Amino acid sequence: MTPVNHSTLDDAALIRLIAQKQPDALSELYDRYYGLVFSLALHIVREQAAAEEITLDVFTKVWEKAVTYQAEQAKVSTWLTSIARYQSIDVLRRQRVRPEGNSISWGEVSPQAIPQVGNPEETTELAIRRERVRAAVAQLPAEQKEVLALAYFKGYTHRQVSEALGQPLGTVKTRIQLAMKKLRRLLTDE
Amino acid sequence: MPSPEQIIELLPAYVLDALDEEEKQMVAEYLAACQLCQAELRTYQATFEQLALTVPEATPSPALKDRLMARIQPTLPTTQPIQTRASWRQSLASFLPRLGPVWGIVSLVLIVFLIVSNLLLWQQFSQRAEPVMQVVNLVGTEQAPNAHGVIVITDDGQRGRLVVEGLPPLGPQQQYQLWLVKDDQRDSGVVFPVTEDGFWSGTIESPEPLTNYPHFDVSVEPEGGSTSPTGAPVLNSGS
Repeated sequence: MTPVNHSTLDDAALIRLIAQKQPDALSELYDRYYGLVFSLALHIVREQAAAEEITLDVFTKVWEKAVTYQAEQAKVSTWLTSIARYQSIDVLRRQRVRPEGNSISWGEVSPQAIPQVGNPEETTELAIRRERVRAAVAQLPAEQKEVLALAYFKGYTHRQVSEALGQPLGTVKTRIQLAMKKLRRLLTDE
Repeated sequence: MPSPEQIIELLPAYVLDALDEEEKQMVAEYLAACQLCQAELRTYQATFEQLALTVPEATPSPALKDRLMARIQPTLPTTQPIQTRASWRQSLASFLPRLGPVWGIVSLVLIVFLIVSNLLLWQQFSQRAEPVMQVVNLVGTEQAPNAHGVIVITDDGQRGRLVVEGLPPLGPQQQYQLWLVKDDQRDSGVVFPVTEDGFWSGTIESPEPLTNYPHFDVSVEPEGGSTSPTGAPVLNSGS
């Protein structure tokens, strides 16, 4: 039988092979997305060791739950970042300590070193997508960025954001709503 | 009972999981029966999904991958199931010839039974066709290239809602007007303003079922609307 060249397969095909317990497929998926998963976890928990554990947990969960993945509901990258975000926020909640207080921010918009992910085309496409989203977030007013960051990176509800910032609940709701609407418009138009 | 507009206003926080439990449950229940809300939800989910890309890139320890592969090692399948399957097949293969002509008759009966039951199931599903709402996408013309919208029409065509976004703000004496187009006939669907960011959502009023109209467009009209379009379309549903 001809060996499968996993690097030529798309993400959904890799997940199907992972569901069949093929470790080479998991290895390829890890190579494609470890950077994205780890970066998100690190940005939320702010601790290298904890972020590495979360990254391990995310890919272990993919290994165990690949059979439940539904391609029509979310892209593989979305599935991975969604697990990573929830795991990271869960770690924060279990610690019940927020050492950084409310200081959490969005990534810098300035160009950064881009790690190689998969083939050069994928790396370039990911880099372009990153810059698009960062540029869109950069266009939000500072007060909208602040409430959105607390909701997204810390998993705060409206009420928790309101308490953390000492702002009226209605103001927080409006700012989150306006921020998401503006991002939707900016990211859809391009 | 909340209106679709109230639910749509909560959707940005819903995708962020920033609602209180009570609000979250209310939105989840409402979403199940509101196609317009589901369409809106998908657009916010697409935005939400991209937020992970904003964080600065970081790299874990190179040994992390080895730890992952070591962690899954105990769960790798052994060759045991394959051997089991081979012996099961062998047993069956040796058993079937002994059934002889009986096996042939049983197979034939089974095949006929499967064909008949499939036909019956197919008939049942055909009769049970679920009512489906119709969704019409509106795209911005040269006058408003950043605008877009959607019209959701009920299965019977009697009711419809319009959602637009990205339309340019208007002067105080102007409003947008939706036109329902059929042959040379243009009926007014609704006259509406937009928010600062060009958003509006509301009910369409139609003299006849909306499903009778193959085309829709939106133009800028004097405040209160016109009896027929006076401005070029800013949104249309294509051909």
